[in-house]
Amino acid sequence: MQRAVHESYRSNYELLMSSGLYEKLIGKGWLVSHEETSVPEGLGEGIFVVLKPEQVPMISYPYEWCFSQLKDAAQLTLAVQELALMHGMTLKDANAYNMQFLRGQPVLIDTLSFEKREEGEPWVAYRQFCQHALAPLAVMARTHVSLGRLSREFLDGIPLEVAAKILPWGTRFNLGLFTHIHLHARQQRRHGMQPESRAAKPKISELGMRGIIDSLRSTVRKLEYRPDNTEWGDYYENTNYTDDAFAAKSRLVSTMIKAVAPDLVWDVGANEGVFSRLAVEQGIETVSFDIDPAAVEKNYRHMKAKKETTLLPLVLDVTNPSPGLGWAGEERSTIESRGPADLVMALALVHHLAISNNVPLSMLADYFAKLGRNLMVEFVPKSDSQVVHLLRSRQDIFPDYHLAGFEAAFAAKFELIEKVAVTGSDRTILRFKTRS
Amino acid sequence: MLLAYLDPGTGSLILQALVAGFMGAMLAIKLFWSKITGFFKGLMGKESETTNAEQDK
Repeated sequence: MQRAVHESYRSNYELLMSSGLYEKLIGKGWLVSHEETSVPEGLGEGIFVVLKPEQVPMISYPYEWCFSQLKDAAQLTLAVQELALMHGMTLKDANAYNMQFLRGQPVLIDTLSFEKREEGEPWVAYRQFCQHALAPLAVMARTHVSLGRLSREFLDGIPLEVAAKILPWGTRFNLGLFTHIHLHARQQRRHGMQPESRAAKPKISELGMRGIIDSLRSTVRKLEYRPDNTEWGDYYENTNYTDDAFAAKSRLVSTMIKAVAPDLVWDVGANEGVFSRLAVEQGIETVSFDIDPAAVEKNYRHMKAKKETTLLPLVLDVTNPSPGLGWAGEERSTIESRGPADLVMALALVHHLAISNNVPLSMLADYFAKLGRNLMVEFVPKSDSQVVHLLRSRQDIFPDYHLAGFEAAFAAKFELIEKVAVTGSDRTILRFKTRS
Repeated sequence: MLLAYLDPGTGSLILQALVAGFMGAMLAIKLFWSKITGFFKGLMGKESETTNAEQDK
């Protein structure tokens, strides 16, 4: 991916590169580095340089992030703005899509987001920051963590008047939330439609702007989320595996990963990423997906503590995955178009999809075939106590839900490479190659 | 900046102007206070604190 830089931006680009800001940002790992290349023929008038920025292995969106991922990205935005100010520059936009995760850390990917700050200029991206970062964080921390998915609906961040309405009334007593959300929403309502008069543009000093940034920083810092008490939060306390069976499954999964030798693994229904880490241990770029924001949160915290650099935990509901969004449904891409992965792992998952969610096995196969070139899937039969539990209060309308039926349903889209029973359980792990 | 790249929102600009003075002053006090405590910690041979920017990252 390359970016063509127009002549009108030249002075800003040159200031970024010459002021020392670029070096500092790269040194701290806060901005993706780039190479300058020559402008190819016929690119159009006025392009003076083409940039080749470092690529991020997996693009992800704020509505796929857990609370702490969004919080870390928000703090980085503020830190970057503060550093920019020290070099006479400012971020002209602060939308959350300019942040991505690289080697386990948030990073700014929009090199061209910096411009020279005029004396007294207010932060034009302040509104964007409050809507894209502060409002979702506040709403996740103080109303409900699952509201992170509101960012899917509001592509320009949660409107402040919406956030103000859904936040608990007590947030008015928090100076930061009162100012940057409640008061901010009121000011927007009051002045929203008025055409801005150039003469009346307010001036704020550098100290004033730094004060606002500092206030935003401590407001964000104090927003907390504790990942307990969700449906899948204590999953590993209550699994069907004895310690021996768990160790046997882990060895089997590791061996299968080695056999595929993938460059990219997607672990679907990964919970806290126990099996994802078997790929991470082999140095493989891995994405852990789970429906539960608490599990993803725990996975992310674990990742930070262990300083793992090849893992990206994300929130994803396989039965309602990230759709195409924005203009023509193309500005934000579907999860499958960001693949395919070399290996998709679907361990202890398909019985939930096939039974709890009534997805026919052949449709499961169709979707998994879109996601990856190889598939490792754990079949959990009706004799397993987890499935007994799922069928307890339902009619058994799944006559073909057995190992042979499973293999038959997957045969159209996949070629079976191997199947191995997991010792100490009734389960089988099957390894497939997707048919081209 | 002749034309803003995105719409900053008139209300947002006005809010910044309203609170910048107060928040700038709060920051100045905070920085001054850490200089004072830093000075005393330095006297007692303790480690100096990190900058605000590094603390919360």
